[in-house]
Order: sequence, then C-alpha cells, then structure tokens
Amino acid sequence: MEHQKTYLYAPDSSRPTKRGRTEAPEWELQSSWKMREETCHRLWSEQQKRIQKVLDDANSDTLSDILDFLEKVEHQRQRSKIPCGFILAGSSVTTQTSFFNQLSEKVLASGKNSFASISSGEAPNLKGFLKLLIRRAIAKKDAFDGDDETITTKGRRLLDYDLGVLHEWVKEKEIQEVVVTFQDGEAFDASLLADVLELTHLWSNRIPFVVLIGLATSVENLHRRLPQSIVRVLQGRQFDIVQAEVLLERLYCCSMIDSEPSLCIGPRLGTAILERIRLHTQNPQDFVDELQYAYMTHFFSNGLSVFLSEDLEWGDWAREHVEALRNLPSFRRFAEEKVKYPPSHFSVRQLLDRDDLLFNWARDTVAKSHKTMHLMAEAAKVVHACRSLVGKSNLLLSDLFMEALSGQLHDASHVRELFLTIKRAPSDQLSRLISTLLPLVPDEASTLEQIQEKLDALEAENDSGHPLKSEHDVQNQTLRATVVARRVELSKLKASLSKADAEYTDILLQFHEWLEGYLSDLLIDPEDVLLSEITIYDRKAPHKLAFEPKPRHAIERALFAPHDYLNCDCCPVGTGPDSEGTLSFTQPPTSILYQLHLESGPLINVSDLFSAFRAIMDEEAEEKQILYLFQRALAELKYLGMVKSTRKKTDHIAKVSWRGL
Amino acid sequence: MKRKHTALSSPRTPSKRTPRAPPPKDPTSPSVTSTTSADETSEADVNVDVDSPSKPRSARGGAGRTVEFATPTKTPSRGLVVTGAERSARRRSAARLIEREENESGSGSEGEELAREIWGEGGSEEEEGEEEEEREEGDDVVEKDNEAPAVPPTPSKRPRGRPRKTRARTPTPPRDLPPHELYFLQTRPGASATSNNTLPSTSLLTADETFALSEAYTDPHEKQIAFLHDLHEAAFPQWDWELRNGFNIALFGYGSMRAVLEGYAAHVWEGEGGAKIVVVNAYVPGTALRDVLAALAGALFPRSAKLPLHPNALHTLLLDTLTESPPARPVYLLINSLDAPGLRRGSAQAVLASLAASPHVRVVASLDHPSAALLWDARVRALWRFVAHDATTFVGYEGVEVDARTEVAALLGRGGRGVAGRDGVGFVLKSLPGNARSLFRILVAEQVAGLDDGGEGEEGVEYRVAYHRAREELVCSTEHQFRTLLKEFYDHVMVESRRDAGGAERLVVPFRREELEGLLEDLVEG
Repeated sequence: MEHQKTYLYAPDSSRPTKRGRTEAPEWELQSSWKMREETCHRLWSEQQKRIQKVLDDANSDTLSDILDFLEKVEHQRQRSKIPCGFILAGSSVTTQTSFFNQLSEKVLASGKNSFASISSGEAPNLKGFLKLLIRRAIAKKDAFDGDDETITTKGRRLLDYDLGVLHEWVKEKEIQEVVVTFQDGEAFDASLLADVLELTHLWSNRIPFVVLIGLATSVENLHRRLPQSIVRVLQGRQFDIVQAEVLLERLYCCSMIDSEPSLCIGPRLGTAILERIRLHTQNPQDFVDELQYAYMTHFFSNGLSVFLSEDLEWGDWAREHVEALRNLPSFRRFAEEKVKYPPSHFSVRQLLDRDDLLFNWARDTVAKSHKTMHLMAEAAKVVHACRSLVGKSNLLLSDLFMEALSGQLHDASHVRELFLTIKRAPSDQLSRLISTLLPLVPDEASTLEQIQEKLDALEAENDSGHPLKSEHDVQNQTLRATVVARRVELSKLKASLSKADAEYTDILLQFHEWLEGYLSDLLIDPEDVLLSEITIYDRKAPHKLAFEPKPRHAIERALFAPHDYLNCDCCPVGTGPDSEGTLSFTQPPTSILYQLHLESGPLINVSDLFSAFRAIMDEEAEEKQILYLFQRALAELKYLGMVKSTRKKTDHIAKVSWRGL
Repeated sequence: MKRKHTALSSPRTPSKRTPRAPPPKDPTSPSVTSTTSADETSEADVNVDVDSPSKPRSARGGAGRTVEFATPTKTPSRGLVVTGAERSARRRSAARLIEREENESGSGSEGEELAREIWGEGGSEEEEGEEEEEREEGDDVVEKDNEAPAVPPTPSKRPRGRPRKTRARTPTPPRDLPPHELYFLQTRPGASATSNNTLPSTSLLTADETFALSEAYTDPHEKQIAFLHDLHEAAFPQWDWELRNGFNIALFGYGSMRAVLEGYAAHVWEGEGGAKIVVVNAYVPGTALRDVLAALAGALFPRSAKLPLHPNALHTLLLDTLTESPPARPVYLLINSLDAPGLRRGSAQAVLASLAASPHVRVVASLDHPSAALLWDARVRALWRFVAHDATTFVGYEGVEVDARTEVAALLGRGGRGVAGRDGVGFVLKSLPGNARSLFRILVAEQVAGLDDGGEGEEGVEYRVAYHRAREELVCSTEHQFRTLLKEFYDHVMVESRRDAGGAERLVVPFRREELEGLLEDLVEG
C-alpha cells in the first residue's frame, strides 16, 4: 500500500484492529460531551451569524459605489477611453479576495454583465491571461474541455485566447459590460499589465470593457509603472475598501463586546490573537478561525463548560460535574470567604452537601457572571466613548476591554487622566458626554437624566453665548508673580467665577462622582467573578501550537535532544533547547549524524563524517551494520533538507541549515 | 611530525563514547600534566624557567593532541622564577595568571584564558594526575608507533584532533554560542578546511546488502516509538472534533507519519463505517496533482462516470460537484508528505487547498520538511485552514519515503540519477541490442581517455566525435540511427547532454572516474 500513489482506504482484515485504543478515553466528565458539543455548535453559529453580518456589511458602501460607477460608465462611455476603477484594498490579500467575491456576485446579479477576476499567480503571460479572461467572462464550464485549443463560433474556428470569441459571445448575449478585474495590481508584471490594457483598449469599440484594478499601495505607484500611452487612455476613479485592521476591530467588538457573548476570550489569549493578526497575517478571517478554535477547545477540554448550555436539566450525568464544580478555585475562594461570616455558614454547607442545590446555584451564577461580563463591556465602552469625546482616541475599544478583563482598567493611568480632563470640561462638552453615554448605560439612565435636566435648566439661563466653565479649568486660574523682599512669589489666583459657573461646577462634580462610582462598581477583577473558569477561556498554549507551529524547531529538537521525545533510559538527557547536545551511541543514528553535522562548516567531508560516526557507534557493531545506519541517517538528513550535494570537492556535501536560525 | 587527521572541519572531534566532555575533563588536558612529568622533573628543579625549551618538544611529541598553550609564544624573555616543579596544568595556570597580574600587560592572550579556565576547574585533576600519567605514557608509546608511517594510509579507527594549523587559534571553540554567532564562526573565511579523504568506491553498500541489513535491523527504541504512536492515537477524538468544525489538520515533526495516518484511517473507518477515505502517498516518485484529483474523483463519482482528462477540467468538475451536489458524507483525504516534490508547485498546492476549503472534504496531511509552510502564500494558507499538530514519531523514513542507497549515491555524485549506479547500467544494457552496448562502450572509453589526458572542465566527449567513432566501428550508419540509440540512454540518465564553452554539444556519462573504469571493464569483458 505504501508504494502506491493513491488508494481508497479499506480495512485490512489480516491486520488486527486496535479497537480498544481508538475509542475516546473514558473520562469522568465525558458523559456530558454530547451536550457540550451541541452547546458549542449552537453558541458558535449564533456568533458566526453576527460575524458574517459584519463581514458582509463591511464594504457595502464601497460596493454600492462601484456598482454605481459601473452603471454610469455605461452611459458616459467615451470613445477611445477605458473606464477604470482603482480599488485601494490595503495589504491584506484575503480581504481583497472576499471583497472581489462579493463584487462578482453583485455585478452578475443583473444578468447583463459579465465578470472576470484574475489574480497575478494564475496568469504568468498574455496568452494565459487572455485564456483565463475569456473562460471566466463566458463562465461556461463545458465549453472548454482541457486540451481543445480552439473554439468554434458561428462556423469560424478561433484560438481560445482570441478576444474574437468574447466578441461573438457579447454580441450574442447582448452583454452590457465586461468587467475585467486585476485582483492584485502590483503583483502583475508591468509589461503584462500594459499589454492587457492596450488590448482592451483596442477592442473596447467592440467589447464593452470596464477594468478594475486592486491596489495595495497607491494609484501613483501604478501610474509610474505604466507607459504614458496606456495611462492616457484610462479614465479612472478611486475606491477605498475597509482596511484589515479596522475590520478586525469591528469583528472583535461585534463578537466580544456588543453582544452578550456566552463565552468570553480572556485578556492573554485575546491580546495574543490580535497581536498575531495585526503584526503578521493581516487577515481578519484568522480572527474568526481562532475564535472558533477557542470555542472548540473550551467545550472539548472543559467538562464544566456544559453549564453554558441554556436548557440544562438535573440528571445522572451531573453528579461528577457537580463534584468538579466544588473543586474550582473560584468556588473554593467563595466558600472560604463565606465561612468566615457565621450567618452564611448554613448556605455554604448546603451547597457542599446537596448536589441539586449546587447545580441550581451554578446555573444561576453562570447567568450572573454573564451579566457581570456584559456590564464590564459596557464600562469599557463608556470609557472609550468618554475618551473619544475629550479628544483622545489613541486606544482601541478592544484594547480597553482587554485591559478591563485583566482587571487593570480601573487603575490605569489613562483613566485617571480622563477623570482629570472631565473635571475641567466646559458645559457643552458635558452635555455631549451625557447624551453619548445615555444609550450606552440603560441601567443608569435615571441618574444621567437628572444631571442632564439640571444642566439644561442652567444652560437655559446662561445667555452669555459662551459655554459654562468649570472651577477646575486651568484657564480660570492665573499665576501672579510678586516680588517680596527680593523673592519671587507665585500665587494662584482663581478668576472670579460667575454664579452660573459655580452651579455648573456642582453639576459637573455630580457627573464626575457618578462616573467614578459607576466604573469602580463594574470594573472588577474578572478572576474574582464566581465560576469565571466556565465563562472565560484564556489558555494561550493550544492556540500557539495550532496556529503558530514551529515545525523546524520541533524537528531540530527531536534530532538534537532525542531524549526529550523518547524519554528512554539509554540516551542522555538533553539539558535544554539551547545547550550543547550530548552524543551517545544509543541515540537514533540520524540524531547522531545530525549533531555531528552541526559542528562542521558549510562543507562536510563524508569520509570524515563517517569516521566520526563510526567512532561513536557501538564497538561491537559490524562495519556493514554501521555503514548501513550511516547511509540511512545521511539519506534522512538529505530528505529533511539539512544537507545537499555539492560539486566543489569530491565526496563532500554542503550544509544547508543551521540549528536555531 | 605531521599527521593526517581524520576529522571533519569541526573544531572538536568526538572521541569514544563521551565525545563532548568539556575540555578540562577531556583526556587531552590531563595529558598536559603528563608532558611535564618524570624525566623532566629534575630538570625543572634546576632550570626554573617556566617554558624550558625541552617542554614544547615533549608537548608536541606527546601524541599531537596536547593543547598548544604550553608552546613558548611570548614568555621566554620574561623569565619568571618559580621554585619547584610545576607538575600540573593547574599550578602552571596559576603561575601564568599571577604573571599576568604582575605585568599588567592588558592584552590577554588565549593561553591566559585557558589558564583561567583550568584554574577555575578545581583541584580534582591534581589527584588524578598520578594515575593519568601512567596511562598516558602507555598511550604515548602506542601513538609513537602509530606515527612511524608518516601518513597513515587509512583513516585511523579513532579520530583524533583536527589538522594542526599554523595560525593562532582558540584552544577550545567558544561554547554555548547563540545560533547566529555559530553560523558566522563556521562560515568565516578559511574556516572550512576539510581533508581530502574520500570514501573508497567499494565502501557503499549494494542493494542486496542494504536490503538484508534493513531486514535484520531492529530499532532499539521500539518501545518508545510505540508509545509516541499511542500518544498520537489518543488525540484522534480531538482530530475528529477539529475536522468536524471545518478545520484541516497538518502534522509535523521528525519521523514518518505514515503509520499515524493509517491508524487514523482505521479510526475513521470504525467511527463512521464505510466512509470514503482517500490516502495519497505523495512521496512516491512521480505522484502528481492529477493522481490526487483522479483519486478524489474516484471516491466522489461512480466508477462508470466519464471524467475529463485534463487536470484543470477535473478540478473544476470536482469543485462544482462539491458545491452543487455534495456527497452525503464528507470525503477524507489523507495525504502523506504533502510537501513532496510532486506536489510542491504553487499551483498544485492552490488547487488542493481550494478543494480542502470545501466543508465536504476533510484533509489530514503530514509535512516532512522543516520549512514546508513556505509552500503557501497568504491566500492559499487561508484556504487550507490548517490546525497544526506535532506528530513526532521517530519512525525512520528509510525504505518507503527515502531510498537511502540511491539518495546517498546521488548525494555523493555517484551513479546516475536515473539508474541505480553501475549495476543499474548493466541491467539496462542487457536489455538493449548489441549496437547500443557498443555505443555506450565507445562513450565511456572516450570519456575515460579524455580524463587521462587531463582535460579539465571539458568533461565527456563531443557529439561529433562520438558519432564519427560510432560510424567507424559500424555501430550505426546514419545520424538518425545514432540519435535513436542515444535516446534510450537519455531516458535512463545514463548519458547527459551538455554544451561546452564553444557551444558544441557534449555527451557525458554521469559517473565518477573509478566507476567509469569499472564500467569499461565490464563492457569490454561482457
């Protein structure tokens, strides 16, 4: 079987099947797996719907702009000009792809257009490009069966890269527009781009071409790459699509903050995911993947996650789960805390003794914990809104929320700064603040409305034309320097405040006090939230392994310190990934040879390598046996791309990779 | 006194069993003690110069493995008086350190550094000194015997030291260098002086020997390997879960993952009886994208269906089928060595990824090469939607993924790529008519003759020359016949065609000289 290229698997009856082993391990909390799986599926599909909506809406404005452009072009088509749209898509390739897919759907929806989208990798030369263009524009599947180089149209045999084919088809179907899209304009060879544009120009009197070019940099850059003659015939317009980073922020907010998520991604994992996407992949879709993986891992590995299910009923399965609940750190802390106060002894004892009570308690607590998290998100939004209103918007909402989740937002320096700024806010700013916050905090609306009313009343009396000022505003203070006995004395003088200003200051302080109280109520350390183990998932390791694997490091480690993997008695213990390896004849031969080759320079004498290898191997082993192992190990090193052959010297090989680089 | 060393270009050479013992514990450093022993003691008592002229001589004579710091480099003029014989490296190091302290010369030499190292090592060596002396002296005798023939004809059993260089060098390579520093150390100009030793052409194993040995060989780590395998099998439910959620799985790590994938196939088969599981062994030479597509189509369509031949058309058909009328149950696609040469092209990966993106195709692929992830650009990577798992197995690649014998032969530039060495050529020639044999003999003979003349760079024989020789010997009468005969050789890569500097075509038999001569013998005799 292993020497066949491909085969359809069928169990080999001659080989015994290892039935016992392939079953899922019997785990005490395994009984709830079915329920957890369903819950996970349900919760994720809700989340996915929200995310999909954000993705769909992300570029709706640009899309309608482009469609509008395409429609108008039809009427304003100038002779000898190609209508051309430049789509500034940013660096994220994948955002572009999804955008062009959406665009293609919309363009084709009318039934009178044809759409051909081509990326640089698919079309290396003009012929290939035209073939693809025609094939995609006509979008007929069976029209081209592989090797057939020609297409027959109306009795004429044309080559399959002849735009005449397209012309005939356009005439036949009465197509209004043929939209040709270069997905990644920069990646195309400049001369190919010029050739294609010239051809489209030449045919534009017969075929109604519209060209769209996706750009990552700028239109000027493209301009520079094209010859003047081509630039002259383009009639262009520029469109911007949402940048990956903005989209990422929107996705985070929609999935974590705006809705009431049933599973919250903790600050460490959240920061790691966002950082990876911002710095490395620039692909918002990755966020969706990693979020899904977080859901999957949480429900797969944490038996208690079953409590996130909505319709949970007491059953036999629950016994072990309830026992596990009692062992949660947050529950233990809670119980120990309660025991300190005698009146609550009884309730704690009941929770410890009666399973069904604890079960109900846990369900309620999880719901409460959700509420707490939601309020925390609300608080983060309030902070963000305040910050942007006082003119500071350098921190993203996602950053603020993550800070809140790690319990650091309340004491953060930028929040203290925010409070100081608010203390100095003039009245117009305060009223703007209140009106922005009102929809954000439904629970606190009454307090805010009271303040608003007072403020309105005060402003109605104020006919000075200027907003009212706060007592704490620095502009109200002047510094006076007086020379007393040859010493300069500085003294602060408060400008005289009007009565209205003083009253306003009272109101402002009221607001300030309210905000302070509100935030300190809501911004608690999530670790103190009961059962946060169930509602927050914050493990970085599984994600790091799954999405940022280090295959090279793993292979090098396996070869350099085989003991780390084999854990055998015979081989010496590797002392760490960065220290010297230890050679021993008991190690796998490839490992020995790998360590030997590490020591040498770029050229290795195979004969000497063999002598060194032989010196390490068991004395009793036969020469042939050693030679066999040597050959095998050398071939494996070559297979793994560590060495290659060289012609520089006889019987020498070249070293290709250095460990750890 | 010059010895030929069998060593890599490496600064240190592994010795028996404990090849990487830190330098102070290495047998070489006690030998320093021994060099200043016995016969010298009395002399040293009288002559109090640290570096008496007799010492370096004995140091060099002492088996050529003593560390160089005993050689008088700059000290003779200093004449520091030390009473009593310095019997150990440790004591001498101390003296050297003190001397430096006094002189305040500032420029610390390498010797001083080593001295410091030895001094810091502690006194355990002093006690060992006596025993070591005896042993070392015994060794010295043996080694002096060994040295009698100036250059040992064969590499000695135990490699010792590296070739002595005249220029100053660090006695021990710096340890625990960060990877980049090590790279620069090893690739610095002039660092890669390797010996001119060659492997005798007979030393490589023949196919039969290899086969017999591989049959007889059992891995001493069988138990641990089985444990690793079980570990991966325990993760199968997790794989199921990931695949069900639309992710695909990439396995990486050292060792063949064939068995793990097969185990997973069995697991899937048991879990959902009769699932379609397509297994692709991409490492099999000649595997191409069309094979994978055909296998997938075989799983999706009934046997009688007429399928397009062209891979592009087949790909489109598969994609359409997967979106429009998907199979009732997902198809499993298990790919061994997704990074094998046959599938390495960007377009192949893009096609496979586009299929894998379908929720009805579940892919588990193993990646052997450490840098396999470089195959994908951002777009393809997003399509694959891979979740990676470390599946280090330590199972050898030999026999299935890798044919060690031919790989090594190719690595050393022995034997053609097409046929497996000399045996292979003989095999091919047996199946060809006599004319072809004669032609090949002519080519080999001309090439050997060319080598004898010392024609550097102009390897092989010129096309015209070969043709005329062939006509002379009545092997062929027209150029067409000549070409026809050559064709078979080209197919088996027994002959390669190159252009020389003048643009003339040259025919080259891609073998080394010894093998060519061997071949010629075979041909003339046969």
